[in-house]
Amino acid sequence: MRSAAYRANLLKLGVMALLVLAACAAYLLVDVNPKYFDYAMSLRVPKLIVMLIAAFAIGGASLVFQSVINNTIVTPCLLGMNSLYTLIHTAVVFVAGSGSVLAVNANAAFAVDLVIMGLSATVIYGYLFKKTNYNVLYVLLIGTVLTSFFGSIQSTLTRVMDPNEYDSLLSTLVASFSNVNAEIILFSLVVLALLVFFLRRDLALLDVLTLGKEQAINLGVDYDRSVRRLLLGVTLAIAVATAVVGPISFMGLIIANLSRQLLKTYRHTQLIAGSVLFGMVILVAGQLIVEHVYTYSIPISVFITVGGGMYFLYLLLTRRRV
Amino acid sequence: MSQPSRKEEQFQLLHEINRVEGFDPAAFAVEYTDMNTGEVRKRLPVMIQMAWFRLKYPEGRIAVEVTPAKDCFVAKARVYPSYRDGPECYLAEATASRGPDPAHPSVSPREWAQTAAVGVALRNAGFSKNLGVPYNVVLFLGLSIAAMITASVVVVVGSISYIGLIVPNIVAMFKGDKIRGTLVDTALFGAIFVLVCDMVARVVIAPYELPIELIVGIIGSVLFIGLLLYRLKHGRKAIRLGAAHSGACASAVSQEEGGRGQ
Repeated sequence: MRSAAYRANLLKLGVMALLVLAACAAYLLVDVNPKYFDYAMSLRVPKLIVMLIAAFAIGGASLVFQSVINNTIVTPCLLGMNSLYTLIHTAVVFVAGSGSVLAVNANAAFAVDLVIMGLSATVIYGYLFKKTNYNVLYVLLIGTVLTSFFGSIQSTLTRVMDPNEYDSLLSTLVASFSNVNAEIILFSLVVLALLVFFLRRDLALLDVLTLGKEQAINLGVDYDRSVRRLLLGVTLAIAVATAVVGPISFMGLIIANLSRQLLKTYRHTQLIAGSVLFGMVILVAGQLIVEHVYTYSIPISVFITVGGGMYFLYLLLTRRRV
Repeated sequence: MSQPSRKEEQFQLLHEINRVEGFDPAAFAVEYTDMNTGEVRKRLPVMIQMAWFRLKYPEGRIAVEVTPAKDCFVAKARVYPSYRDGPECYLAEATASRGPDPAHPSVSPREWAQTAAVGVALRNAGFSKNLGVPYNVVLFLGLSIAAMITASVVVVVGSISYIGLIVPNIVAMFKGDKIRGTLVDTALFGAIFVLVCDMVARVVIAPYELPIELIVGIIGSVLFIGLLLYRLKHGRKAIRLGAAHSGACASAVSQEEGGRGQ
């Protein structure tokens, strides 16, 4: 038996999905010259897919992360996972050199990055959470410091390395919405699918996990194991998103909280779906506006950062208890 | 600014009520850290409050009764101007409850509740001291000075993160948190820190230079995280160098007061 609220939420999600479809169609078809249809599609389709991948990875990862940490103003990006990924990517090219397989073959580089990212993030953040007794504010504080730590090391490395190597690094490093990393679309799709497949049990347990550690253990959940696996999944999803479109810090915060505000539920199937759909609408529609209204003069990350910053302040100020 | 200063005058008048010739309670005030807001304030230790009360009312009486509750002790204290007064003729009354504090297992919750109740009751009777600092004026001046110094630094060398965060904390760990005593050390240590970072920045890729922010960013964040984790493990404990150090003692006292403060 489903409650009325559940059905209302399904309706909202349906409307969101329609909006996503409309945005995608508009993005593909606005201003297309029918004569060069194939050429236009060859440019637009990879971009669209990349944006959908990014929205899926960031939306899902942020929401899962917030639920695991039990705090709704935290995103993985605030903990410096973006900068960790850029650092790892730079370090790999720095160590391997620009002539090696790792720098030439984007998929190989991406695979190595993902492995290192998974390992190092699990070690670093697992240690932090344990050390601070899961005190989110301390972890957040250390996370912001880590962001600048990783950023500093990364720019030191780029300054130390050979200019030619830096040049080859740059094309993969500064992925953005106008310069998407289309080579690794297939690989990232596979990674995300594998993540969802291997974590399906833990994702189904999210509703229980948010009850708190004691309650979850009482109900027969292997809490630590689930949390560890979910955090690893979050890390990898963020790595995928950063690899394909570059760092977008506030995106996850906005879409996860918008989804919570809109759906007002604790069912994570709906929340995650809402968050992902919000991400897709914002990215695709935003990019559409950037391309056709502002003609590329303003990158979409500016809008996301400005809007996200204000929304973050709003959340901080209206929510008494952080 | 007229409002606070009038308030200050009124506070001064209030303090005149319990004035005792030849006794200056301000000399005994200690700093304590508010456990909830993290604010550092000054207050009188309860012992001094009681001594003051004795000086003012030699025949006075402080009655405390403690009742054990479910997981804490509830203490009720009443302050009488004379030991002959009836039970309802008190100057002030206060209750306080304290449970066992996991951070200070040696503190008996019973005694703690008693002390807290007596302290509040005496404070209600006017035996307390808010030190007469014109808070808003000092805050305004301090912020202006900090803003002007920061602006001139940014104009001259650009922004360098972390120095302001790391250096004062490290100095405070060794020399205590009394600003007057540590200002020079902080300034000198900050200069050393920047110079060392600059040397590292010049050495790494020898004929060229790295921007100093990068080196400060790396060293500073490592130090900052180290400090934070150290604090988490050891609390705000000072590092003692050799014999008992005045700074270390002061900060140990303030921690103790913070633990027991209401």
